[in-house]
Amino acid sequence: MSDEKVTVRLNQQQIELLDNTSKRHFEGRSREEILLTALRDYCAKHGIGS
Amino acid sequence: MTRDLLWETVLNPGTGKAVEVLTGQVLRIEQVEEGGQCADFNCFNLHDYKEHFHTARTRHVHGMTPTTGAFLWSASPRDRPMAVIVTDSVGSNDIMYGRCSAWIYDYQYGLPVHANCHDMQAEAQREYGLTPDDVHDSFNFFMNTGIDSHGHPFIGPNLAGKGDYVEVMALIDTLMIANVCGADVMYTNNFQYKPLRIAIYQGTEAELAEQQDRAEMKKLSTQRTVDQFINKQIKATRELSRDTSYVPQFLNTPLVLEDVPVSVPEGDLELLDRLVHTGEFGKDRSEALRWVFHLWWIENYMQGAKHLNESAS
Repeated sequence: MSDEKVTVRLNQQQIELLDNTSKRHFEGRSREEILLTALRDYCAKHGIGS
Repeated sequence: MTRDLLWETVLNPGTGKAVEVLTGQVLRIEQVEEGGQCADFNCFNLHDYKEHFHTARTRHVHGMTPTTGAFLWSASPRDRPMAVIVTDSVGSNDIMYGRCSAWIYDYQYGLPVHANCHDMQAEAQREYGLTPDDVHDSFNFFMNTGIDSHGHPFIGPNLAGKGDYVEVMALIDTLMIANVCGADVMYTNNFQYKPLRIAIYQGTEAELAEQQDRAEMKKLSTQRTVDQFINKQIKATRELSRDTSYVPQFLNTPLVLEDVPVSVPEGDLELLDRLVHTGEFGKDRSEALRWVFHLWWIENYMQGAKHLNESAS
């Protein structure tokens, strides 16, 4: 399986949250990177996929 | 701690009292006789009665049994700490039940004439020109409550003993109203009324400064004041009628959805599929990624209480 495109639907308030998170905590990394970081961190913390 | 006593009285069963408690002053509500008495408590901004204590915001921030250190918040759009509990010798308070009223005793007990907190609050605050409609849901000091396994609230025996007390420091100038809770035919007061002592003390500057330094006291632009209202005048007539010139001005609208494409590697696709498979992260990969972003954000960055089910984790 190669990479697949997943589309996340967000309103402008949620986009603002995402972009603020990138600016404040991840040195401006892309929205895609933040979302993947969230997925990996959350799953690691909660033992999903381990 | 020794504070200067400014005023005191004893509230007899069936009564309440409205008192001005200014910034930095402390209202004490104290058990006399054998204890076991609940005190209902309302609070208004002394200079703007439309700003009043709000159980829901307080519950949201501090949970179901606020105690020492918990702020008493005003209702939205004001959304700010009006007072703070500085002492609580029992730690058993209620913010779930509103206040008892005449209807409760009539409907549930067949007693149409019965002392009740709503009427006591209304009568006490009548001294300041307020109406029975201005009584709001109370903070119930010393009331022992919980939620059972069916999701229903329950009242348990009152745990306060003689000499137990709570102290509330005003963070703005307030009108505070305390009454001897009218529930003699429920567990609330161990089936018997007792008087309560209420007193106002002068808090120290250090005490006030310590509270004002707390994170929740930071002023935010979203704590609205009257000058920010579109309608500033309090409506004087009770009858409602439509304003034909009204044009909606809802905040931050229209709310528009944007598609954010994410190129997800194979290993991460498996994570998404596992999340979807649990049935707790939406119905597909797109929803799962949106859900997990927000849950991750709440866990890592949200200020204050997280409002996640800690029992489930």
